[in-house]
Amino acid sequence: MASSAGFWSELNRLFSVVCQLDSRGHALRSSSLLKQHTGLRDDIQQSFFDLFEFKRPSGFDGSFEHALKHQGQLFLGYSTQHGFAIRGQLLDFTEQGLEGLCFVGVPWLWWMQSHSPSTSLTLADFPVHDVQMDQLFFMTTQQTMVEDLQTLNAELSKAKHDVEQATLARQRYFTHLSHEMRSPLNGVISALSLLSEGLVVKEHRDFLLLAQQSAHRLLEVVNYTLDVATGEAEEMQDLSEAFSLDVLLNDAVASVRASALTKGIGVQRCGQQRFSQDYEGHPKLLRQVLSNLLSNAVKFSSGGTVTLEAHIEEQLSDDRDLLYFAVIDEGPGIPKAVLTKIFEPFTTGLSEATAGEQGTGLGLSIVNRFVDAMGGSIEVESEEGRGSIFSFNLSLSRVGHASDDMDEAHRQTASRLSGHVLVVDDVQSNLMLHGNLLQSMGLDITTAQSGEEALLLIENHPPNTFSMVLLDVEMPGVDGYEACRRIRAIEHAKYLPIIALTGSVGVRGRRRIDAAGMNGFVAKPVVRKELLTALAKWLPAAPAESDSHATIVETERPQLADDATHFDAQKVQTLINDVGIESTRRLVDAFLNESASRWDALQRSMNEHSWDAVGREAHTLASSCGTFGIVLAARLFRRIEERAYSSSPARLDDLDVIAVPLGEGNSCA
Amino acid sequence: MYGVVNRSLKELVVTHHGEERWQRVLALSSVPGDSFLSMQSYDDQITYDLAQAVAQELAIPVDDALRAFGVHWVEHTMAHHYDALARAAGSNLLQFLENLNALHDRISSTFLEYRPPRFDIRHLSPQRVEVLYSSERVGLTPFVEGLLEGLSKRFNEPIDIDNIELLPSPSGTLSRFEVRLIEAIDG
Repeated sequence: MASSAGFWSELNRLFSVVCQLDSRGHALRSSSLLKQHTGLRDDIQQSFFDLFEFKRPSGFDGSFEHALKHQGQLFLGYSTQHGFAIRGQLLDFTEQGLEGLCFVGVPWLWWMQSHSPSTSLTLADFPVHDVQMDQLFFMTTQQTMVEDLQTLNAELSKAKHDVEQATLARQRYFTHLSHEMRSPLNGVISALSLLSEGLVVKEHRDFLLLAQQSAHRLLEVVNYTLDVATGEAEEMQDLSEAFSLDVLLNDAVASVRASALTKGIGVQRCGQQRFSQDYEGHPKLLRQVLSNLLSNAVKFSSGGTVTLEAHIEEQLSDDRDLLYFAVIDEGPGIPKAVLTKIFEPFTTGLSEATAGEQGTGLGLSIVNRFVDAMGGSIEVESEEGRGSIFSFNLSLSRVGHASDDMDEAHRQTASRLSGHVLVVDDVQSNLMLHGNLLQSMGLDITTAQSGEEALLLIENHPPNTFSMVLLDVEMPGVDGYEACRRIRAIEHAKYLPIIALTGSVGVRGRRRIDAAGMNGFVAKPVVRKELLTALAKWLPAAPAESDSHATIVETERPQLADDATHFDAQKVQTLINDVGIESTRRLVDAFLNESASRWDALQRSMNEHSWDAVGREAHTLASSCGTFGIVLAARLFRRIEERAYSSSPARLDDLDVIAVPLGEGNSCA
Repeated sequence: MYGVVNRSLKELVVTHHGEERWQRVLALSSVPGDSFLSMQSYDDQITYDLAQAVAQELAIPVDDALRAFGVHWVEHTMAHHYDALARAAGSNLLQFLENLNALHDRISSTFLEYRPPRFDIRHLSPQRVEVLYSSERVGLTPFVEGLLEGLSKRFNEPIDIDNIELLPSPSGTLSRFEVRLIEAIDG
């Protein structure tokens, strides 16, 4: 048998807390660490178990007799007095030459970490097989990881907030930009349209046609830029509507027939000639895609035929088809080097042979984005000198039977309608304007100046009194959205057509309109043609239609002063054309009276720091000024509206200069 | 190397020179981001690129940048994140150095990708020790010099590093430091 001294040394190498006990539980000899931290001495017999409070074994009363019953179990003991704690077990080593029992273990690191962190222990105090120090490192690093993640989380939250703010600012900016860019362009297009109706000289008509095409092309570039900037096409995925594919395909072909004819190019539809059912999808996007592809094909071809093919590739289910669309031309083809990037913005397949043709280089990029947005994928095959094929598949749901082409045609041409329209707008001049426009279309009208009044009128009139409601969405009190929801709650008005009048025609604006349960919208300022188109979807044409609208347009056409930076005379001219000069005068009078009171209200709200009220009044004034072509004032009011709705409205110094454009608006009227 | 090293390097630059200069360091290094997780293992090249960029941005030699990083590691990173362990490793410079391998051994049992250096200490005289540093990494001898300076400050035991010698090594680094312990003036 090895000497007890040798075995004692071995135990002290394996464990840093060692204590040999006599038959009463007194310490005979102890390891140096135990002595150092508890004051145990070999020459003074002390009860080992009296040195510590024991947390384990469970129920252990601290007596040696009781300890004997827990031999081999884990003992966890601590001494608050010494700031020291142990963990280990009671073992019998008599066979190894040690009399009595021995407690063998290590310092209890976790207790000391939390109760006595100042107790100095080193790595050497823990035998290499003891993992407490490893655990301490692991726990320390876990804490560091938690701190890292908290830091990252804070950074991500801030970055997310910054991005959201930037997106919001960008949306506001582009909403503003959209208005600023489209308004003058629409003015140009409207002016050209009016001119083309009045002139008869063929050469002038050709020039006008060129100007109209150029303006439309510029509008396309502007729309594309704003669309890309705001991601509108992608958001449109959620907004689908029923449409006649036949009408859409015929329209697309018709849109290029004239230009093809002048170049001696044939245009044809092939594949399925008639689709028996309508589809639900995104007709605006699809129409744009096909028009772009066809117009490109015509533009870059010098002969041959351009073909639009559309057929059902596969019936996916009872109500869903996979449709194949292709535009095939016999033009010069696209060079291989260009083919790979043909869908990138500002890339054209122009070769020297076709260098005479100019394009914006946006058409195919628009096509690509729109086809993507509709869930398809555009492909191109091309061979130089042999032509090109642009194709894509779309999965579309079938809905109902195909619309009657004659109905479509009828709707497109009807200029007088039949019915009784409830017009709701809080702005008196708008009510007059819309009322006049509706009356010029042959419609009966009732007006209401608030959502509350509209609700009362509908509730208190028998069913079918009103054929339709034309509802301004921005009103104090019950706004248009809420009014619509409440109208839908009235039993006899559940299905009453409601068209929104709104200045916000972006995807979000349209979503709100849809969500409120309205059937459509007309953008403000209201243009007669657009209003007519929107109403014609819901109201029947007048039984004996005559083009009496023409008689409303009075021959008197005063020359209006036109300082484009302050005043857009074309707006007033359009009003005169739409409702006549007398009605226009009355409208202007009403506008001036009302704007004065709204101006007072705006100033009052400003003084009271009622920013929502400021925003609402500024919105109304901007809208009204826009209707009457008071451009600068409209712009300034729009800025005030934006600032009023911002989180911290800046000083509204601009108000000081608004009196000037309003005054000029007066003199022009 | 673990992300804590890169975080420490960032902390060094941000603390002494500001966030803007750190962003310039990041741009110079072409390292794509600085959201390092302390206990995630990253490619060593990231740390080398960052150290190189720090030297370039601060217009100092790379060795000086690494030396400063070594001091910062002891004074801030170790003191802030691993103080309990550092205390367990020793209460004076020599004890700490002699326990360093044991500490690294324990860390290796938990962090399987950990590839620590080795420090062998030889007493040349009562006031002079030889520190033999060996690592599978190259180019970090100045960092170790900074560590020794940092430890000297931590334990308030002034030292002179009389001689630094790069010894031939088949792979990685083998460096020899001769450290002279100076009696503290107030000690």
